[in-house]
Amino acid sequence: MSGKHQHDDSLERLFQKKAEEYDISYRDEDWHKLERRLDARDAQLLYRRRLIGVAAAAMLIIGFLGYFTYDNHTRLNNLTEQIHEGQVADEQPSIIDPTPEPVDRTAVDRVLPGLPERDLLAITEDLPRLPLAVAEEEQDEFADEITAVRIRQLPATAVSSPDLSPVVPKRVDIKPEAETDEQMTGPPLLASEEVELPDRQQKVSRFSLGLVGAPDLTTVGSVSNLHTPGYKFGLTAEYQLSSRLAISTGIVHSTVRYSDRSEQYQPPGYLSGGVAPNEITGECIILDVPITLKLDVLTYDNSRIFATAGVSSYIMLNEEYNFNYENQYNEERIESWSDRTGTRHWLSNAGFSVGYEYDVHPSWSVRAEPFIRIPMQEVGWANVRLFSMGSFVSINYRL
Amino acid sequence: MFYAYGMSITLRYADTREQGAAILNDAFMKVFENIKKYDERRSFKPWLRKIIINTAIDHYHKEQKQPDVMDLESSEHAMAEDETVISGISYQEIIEMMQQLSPAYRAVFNLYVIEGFNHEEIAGMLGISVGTSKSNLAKAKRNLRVILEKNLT
Repeated sequence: MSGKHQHDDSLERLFQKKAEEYDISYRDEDWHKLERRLDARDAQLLYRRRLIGVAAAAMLIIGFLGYFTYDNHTRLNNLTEQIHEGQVADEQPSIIDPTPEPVDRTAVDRVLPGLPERDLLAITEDLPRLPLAVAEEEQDEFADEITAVRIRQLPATAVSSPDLSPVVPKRVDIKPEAETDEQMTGPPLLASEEVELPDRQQKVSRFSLGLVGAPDLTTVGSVSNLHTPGYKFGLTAEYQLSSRLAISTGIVHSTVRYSDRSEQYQPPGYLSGGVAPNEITGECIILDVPITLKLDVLTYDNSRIFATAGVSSYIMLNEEYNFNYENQYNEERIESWSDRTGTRHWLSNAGFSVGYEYDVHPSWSVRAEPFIRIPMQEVGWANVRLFSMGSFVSINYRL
Repeated sequence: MFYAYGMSITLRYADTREQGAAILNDAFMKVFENIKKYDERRSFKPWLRKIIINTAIDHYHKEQKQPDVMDLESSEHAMAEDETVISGISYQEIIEMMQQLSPAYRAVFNLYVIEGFNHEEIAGMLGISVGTSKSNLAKAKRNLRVILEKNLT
């Protein structure tokens, strides 16, 4: 600004002078109207953030489900193809000689003149069936072996014939040796056969219920200002999406206790006599409704290490705040406030944990799970952002 | 403490008292957000004033409408030399007269006459040319003379 101008114009002098003679009184109505507009704008911003959070969570869940569905579908297709191939091989009469080759009558007539065709076919068909799982090389070896045996059994004159097609005059039962049996692949896995699984894997249910409990340390400001521990206990329900991924929800009753400077609190309206307290201590009873994805990171025979990530919604059942003042002479000070507010804060906190689960029984397991809860929005009457940490101990039952 | 001072500035730029309160609220938000940048060795009022004026100009840009091409009927009468009569006008009346101007004329008049900026500075702040700034000032003064004369008669 280059400085005041010389106002030669009387109009300019008038407005310049009058602008400095302001006499404006404070009006509550100005700020009430503005407060309503600001609240509406905050609500809109909050709605947009929640929408983004829900969309992100939905995409994440859909992505996981899609990936594991595709993975399972691929495995299922592979299994189906294997079973189908097995069935097709079973229906074939002979692996060694799937299609009866035409018998060279010249060699046959030399050895067995006048042998009827059907008798010859009966002889050639009377060959041992080999298991489906025999590799092609083994099948060829068998064919060669059988042919070699047959050649040895043929009269000398027949051996000289270049045609080694099966013209054995008598039945030759070639049974694989016992050692060969063991070398061969196991019995055919036909669709009609049942596979016996170990006892633990039988009757596997995807649903499980859990009873959880945990101590709770909550703060609204720095971690160094933790207050008296609270506690959590509740029920969870879990659905196994795949062998490693599960989704769970539940209801956890939480008593949280925290304390901090009054700057961390933004209650509606003003506190006593315009004097803010120096410290506020809060104790709230909250219903925590989490939605969590659990991933088994490392699996062992009877245990596993897992990690979880999810979001929690807080329902404030009861809130109690105590206010401490440096100035004890303020007779108008409010020392405490409490109410069953019942406010709901959907998707207000994000939760992360890592844990260890041990199977004490095929249907029962125990878990130890340190967790943290990080605020995504303010909650409660005092509009605080709650940071929580603790360690869940739970016992789970697989239905 | 600074409410009246702040409103005395924003009312000159706003169409209504509600809008003036909204501008003042935004200005105070900026004060709180930038309080760490305030140099305590300097006086607070000029720093606050600068933030309020800039906030008022931001609001002007957001709600900028087509310049009012319809000027008020120009007064052929010179303003009364007797300032005793017009000095009796209250601050509230001054504000009401200014709120009858279009936003473009009002902004230039405020920045030139009340705040003391020159036309080059005003052109930069409002995103107009120097010529437009001078033209708008002249039109604002002409319209105010008409309004003033109507109020006095």
